[in-house]
Amino acid sequence: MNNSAAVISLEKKSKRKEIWKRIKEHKILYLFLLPCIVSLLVFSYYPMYGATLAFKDYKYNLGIMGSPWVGFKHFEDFITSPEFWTVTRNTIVISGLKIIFGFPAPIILALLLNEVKCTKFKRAVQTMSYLPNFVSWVVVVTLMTVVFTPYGGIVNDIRKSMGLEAIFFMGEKNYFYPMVVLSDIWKNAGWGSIVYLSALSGVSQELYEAAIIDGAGRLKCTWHITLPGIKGTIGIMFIFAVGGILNAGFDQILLLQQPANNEISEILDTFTLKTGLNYGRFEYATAIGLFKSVFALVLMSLTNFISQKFMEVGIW
Amino acid sequence: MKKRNILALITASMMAMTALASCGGDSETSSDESSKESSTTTASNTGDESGEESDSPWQKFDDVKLTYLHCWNGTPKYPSDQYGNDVATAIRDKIGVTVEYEGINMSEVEKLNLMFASGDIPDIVNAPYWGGDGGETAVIKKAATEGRLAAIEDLLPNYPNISDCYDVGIVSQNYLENDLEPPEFEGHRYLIPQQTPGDENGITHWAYGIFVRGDVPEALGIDPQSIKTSDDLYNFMVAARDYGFKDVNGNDCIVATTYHEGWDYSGYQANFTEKKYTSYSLQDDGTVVYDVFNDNWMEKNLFMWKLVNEGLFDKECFNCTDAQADEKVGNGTALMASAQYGVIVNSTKITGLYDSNPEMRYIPIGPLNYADGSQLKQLETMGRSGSPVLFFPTDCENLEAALTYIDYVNSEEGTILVKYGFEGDTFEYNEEGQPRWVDSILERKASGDTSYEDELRERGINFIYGCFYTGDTCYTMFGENNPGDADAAVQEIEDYKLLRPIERLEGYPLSGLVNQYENYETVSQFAFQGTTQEDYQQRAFFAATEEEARQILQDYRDYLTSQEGGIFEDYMEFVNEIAKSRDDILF
Repeated sequence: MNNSAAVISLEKKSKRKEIWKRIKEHKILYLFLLPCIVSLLVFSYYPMYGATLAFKDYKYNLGIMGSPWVGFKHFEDFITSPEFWTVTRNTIVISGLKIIFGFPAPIILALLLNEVKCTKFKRAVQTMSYLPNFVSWVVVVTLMTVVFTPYGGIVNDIRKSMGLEAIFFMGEKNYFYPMVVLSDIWKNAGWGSIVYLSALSGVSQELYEAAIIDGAGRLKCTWHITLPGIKGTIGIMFIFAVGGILNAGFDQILLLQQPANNEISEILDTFTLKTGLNYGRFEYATAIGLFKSVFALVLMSLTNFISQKFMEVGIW
Repeated sequence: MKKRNILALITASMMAMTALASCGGDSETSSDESSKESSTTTASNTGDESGEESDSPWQKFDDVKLTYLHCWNGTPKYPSDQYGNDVATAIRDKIGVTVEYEGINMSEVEKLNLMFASGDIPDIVNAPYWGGDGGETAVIKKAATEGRLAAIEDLLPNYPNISDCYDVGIVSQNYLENDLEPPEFEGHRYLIPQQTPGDENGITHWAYGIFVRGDVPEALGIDPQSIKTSDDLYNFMVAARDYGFKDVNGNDCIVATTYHEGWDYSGYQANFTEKKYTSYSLQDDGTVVYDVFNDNWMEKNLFMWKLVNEGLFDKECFNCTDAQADEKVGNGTALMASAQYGVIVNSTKITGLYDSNPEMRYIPIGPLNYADGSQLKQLETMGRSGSPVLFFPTDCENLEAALTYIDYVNSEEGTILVKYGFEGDTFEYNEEGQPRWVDSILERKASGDTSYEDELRERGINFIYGCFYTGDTCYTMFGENNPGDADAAVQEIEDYKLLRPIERLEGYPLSGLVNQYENYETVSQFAFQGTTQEDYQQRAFFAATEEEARQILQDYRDYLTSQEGGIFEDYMEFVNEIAKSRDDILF
């Protein structure tokens, strides 16, 4: 017993030595990690002390650390507020729709691009599809307003010329979810496809050649070679997407909010702005933020567990 | 190999330094702060000690520079040279103080929160302070009670031109007791209520109303001033919709619109409102009712539903910006708009609508009558009950210099300088000894040429007063509220003001007493703060059927009565009790 413990201990020591040796050998390469570590510490870990605000009654003059503790008061206020269930439901529904329709979009785009043989055309499409990512939501929503306005918008002008009634697409409740999902796909699918395209480039060409010799067509190749080949990437991206389910897209939703849809468009982030930040209730806003983070962590862990079990893909 | 290693080391170090550079703000700030501190010391020392032998009633400081934030969403135009323009130089020569102006393009509440939380507050701030417990007022009150603002009660008496800013009449008793000197301020004064009237002539007439493109009533053969009820208005709007008017570009028109976020759709509902000041009504049986539970509230919102539902109202206006509204009004796309008349005239100036299409000149409708058929008025209390305010942070670079500057601007001499400019150059005195802009400026104003405004502003003329005046007596002193009003005012706006005159109401507003309810904060949070009521109302406007709209409005009533174990009922009992506590209650 003692011997085996000593052996394990020795093995551990030699492993550690080996790691140190490798680090020393490649010290320059490790040095390149420094900026990332520094920025992570400065921008992600250092501000975390601000999360204590969620348990405090914030006073301007006392600052975050000096303000008095109030326990879970702000969490209680939030959970018992009449809007809690509505905003949580809205957030999950919008995020859910984005995952259902928006998550496969970049994969499909990447698969389609992967099948394009004409390089020039492929590059042109890629560039066009990446561009919307660099346009802010303010501009996107303004463009949408101009295109879909019932007062001289191109879509409604076409409808009118066909003898149809003008529709206030941006303001009617029934069109809110399609507008959110479609604009999200238009803006993000191209950029999101980069990850999958790079994953696709790693799939061995020999597998395709063998499959073609065996008589497989394009669809069969995609189904049996391409998709399994990028399964790991899809799995990881899916875990991240589920982890961010309470981030339904603050700026997009805030800008798309209209009186007719505010019953289904009020999400956690917009609610935080309206009831917390706009009233100087930083502690309340922080409590909602922390609630979101904890919920996301739990959800991500759960998805990771399921993904590991069934797809053998996980982020830890 | 060695070279490569060195190169890699340098690259990695540079990247690390870049990442760390963002953390360098602190040191920069501290250096800024230290320089600010030293400047403060210098300024206050020299200022205090200079005490030049002169007849000037103002202390002269040694070139003190102060920063001013106009905390109102939408940055106004300022002179490109804030230090060296003519007025800034003249003021500096007089009192040794220069103020540099900046504005914001974000929500006022958000900006105030950011400033107070960070402690990075300009030397003088002008912000909205409408009273009560929500919005900007709540944030400023919190900042005052939590040590962010400088108390000025001991200094104010030293500045004769602003020392009366807390007098009842300039501000209302209610505003004074609940907002300017609330109990939580513990006797301190932190704010200078601004844009307040010094006498009855100093009350600003906002000229709110509904305005219609001039060719519309003419084509329809309807006298716009004969429209007095909501039925008249509705019929007029239907006729306008069915006529098929086009805008300057030949596009279809919108029948009725507003400016930013639905401001001011209540103009279309005016015929449903009672002539009263608060959100509470005294019923025939002597009970006091909150407006939401009145039939009028239901009816006026259903009227809006009808307008939206029948395509008579701009569906986009509840979420639009002023720039979008300017475009709709400026191009004649909106046949009617509800807002201040001056704002509408300005929109047409942007596009030159009146030059290209003089027949489209916007003219007033009605005004509509109150629900009881009486003439619509602009109701005012005795003194303002909410206003812009000026305040100073505890680390204001030089509080006395700031107060001296404000005092000077509010003096007769200072007012003439900042509004009219320089005698013989931009203004002359008339036979009554009142300053009047020179003819060349008045002629340009009268012709609608607004370029003179930019030219004067570049010299520092006619923009400072609006930021600092308190207890305005310009009309009494000079015979006009604003330069050019007496000789070159927009006549149609002046005429409209007579159609909707100002009426001052005496008494103590009930809304100023209800905060004595023991759980007022709880009630206020769900009933009066935030946008819940507005959200319900606007949702009702877009309901598919009248029944659905009625149900949404009823849901809001139920929401009020069901919160916090039905506390609203208890609150209203208190309101009924407190309404009997005084003889001069103003509903």
